[in-house]
Amino acid sequence: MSTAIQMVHVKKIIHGREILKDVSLSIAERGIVGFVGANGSGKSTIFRIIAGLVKPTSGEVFVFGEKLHKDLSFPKNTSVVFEKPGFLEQYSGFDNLKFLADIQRKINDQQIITAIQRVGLDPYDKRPVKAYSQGMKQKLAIAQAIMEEPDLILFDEATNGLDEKSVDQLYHIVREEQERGATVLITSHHKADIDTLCNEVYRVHEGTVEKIM
Amino acid sequence: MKLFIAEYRILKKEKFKLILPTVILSVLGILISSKNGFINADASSEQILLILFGSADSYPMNWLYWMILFLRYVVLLQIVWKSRVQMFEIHQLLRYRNTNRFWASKFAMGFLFTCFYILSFLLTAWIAAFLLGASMAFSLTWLLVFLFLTLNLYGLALLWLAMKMYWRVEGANMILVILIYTGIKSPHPLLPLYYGMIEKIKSSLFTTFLIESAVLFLLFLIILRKAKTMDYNT
Repeated sequence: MSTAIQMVHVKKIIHGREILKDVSLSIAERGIVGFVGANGSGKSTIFRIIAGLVKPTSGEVFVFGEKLHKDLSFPKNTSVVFEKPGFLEQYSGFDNLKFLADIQRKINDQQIITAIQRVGLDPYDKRPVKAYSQGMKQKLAIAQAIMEEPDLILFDEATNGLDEKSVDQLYHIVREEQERGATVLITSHHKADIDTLCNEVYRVHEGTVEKIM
Repeated sequence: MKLFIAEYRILKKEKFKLILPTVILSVLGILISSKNGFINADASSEQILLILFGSADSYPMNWLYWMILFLRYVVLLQIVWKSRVQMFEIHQLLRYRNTNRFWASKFAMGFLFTCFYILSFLLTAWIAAFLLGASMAFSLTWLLVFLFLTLNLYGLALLWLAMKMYWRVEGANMILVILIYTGIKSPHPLLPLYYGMIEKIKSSLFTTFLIESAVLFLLFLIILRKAKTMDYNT
């Protein structure tokens, strides 16, 4: 199986503090890979580096064989869900996703509607996002991440704000996305769930990464 | 083009915040000038244009009009270029997959707003001249004022954006206000700091245009360089 992500001796220093210390890892395509670790251990920084949003101080990152910040600025067909979802609050959920989908124009309105329905939201809900609960915003962020059928999906603390049923629904979506052919990376505080869901699990501790499963 | 349209649609909800103050301020500026007798029916439309948009050395009382025009522009620009929910911008960036395209649509929107802003002030001046009963005649000066004022204001906008990105927004605001105040009051500002006052560059229109364009280009590069190397944290 080919390699989806390769990090080679990656270091990240922010304001003199070493957030990541010489991280090297290799993740195969079409897997579900979990990252566990305490808050501030460096999990989110790893995800941001893979997404091209944060540049490593040293080291190299390859996503689907292409070197980030050299061959391309951001990896192809990649989507993210971070802990705090952010949308244009005055627009409806559908409008928000439509704005984003219009950038690449890979999908039509019906595919946006399907993605919203998959996460259990009403695509015809005309209320602005500011009227949504935290859980609904998080579901919308998940719909945003899956709607264009990306090759790589990063879920960073995506279960935050979700009730138990919605967490199960997210894990179901994660499995479906893997079956479709996507590589899914996920971090969570729920270690037991990560263990049952993932093919590989990494523990991140004080900027170092160790494969534990 | 589609990126530009997407940016426009996002900004559409802010239209009242942008359009109303622009129109109200341009009218207010005219009312103040008219009430104080700076502009009146004895002048031609071109003279009224030069009284309002001329050098503050020739028309010492119009510095207030300039200050209103510039300061409000700086405030409105922060609505046009404000960060629209960081996480949403992250989703946009990952789809643009290219910082240049992402920033180009922002630059384009800023330029379009600058054109609209200057046009509002010029149109209000034109209507005021008409209502005052001034002799109306269109001249090339109107176009020149529009062109050079737009270029100069947009240059200041890019300077503000560059300072904001490399330093901080409060510092950028403060320096810009100082620059604007000094530039309007100073009788002999440096060429790129002539603040669109057409009288100051009458003898060197083409040179000014070249210098101004070069400054804009340089500022684009400086901003894009930072945009390429900075971390996009959420």
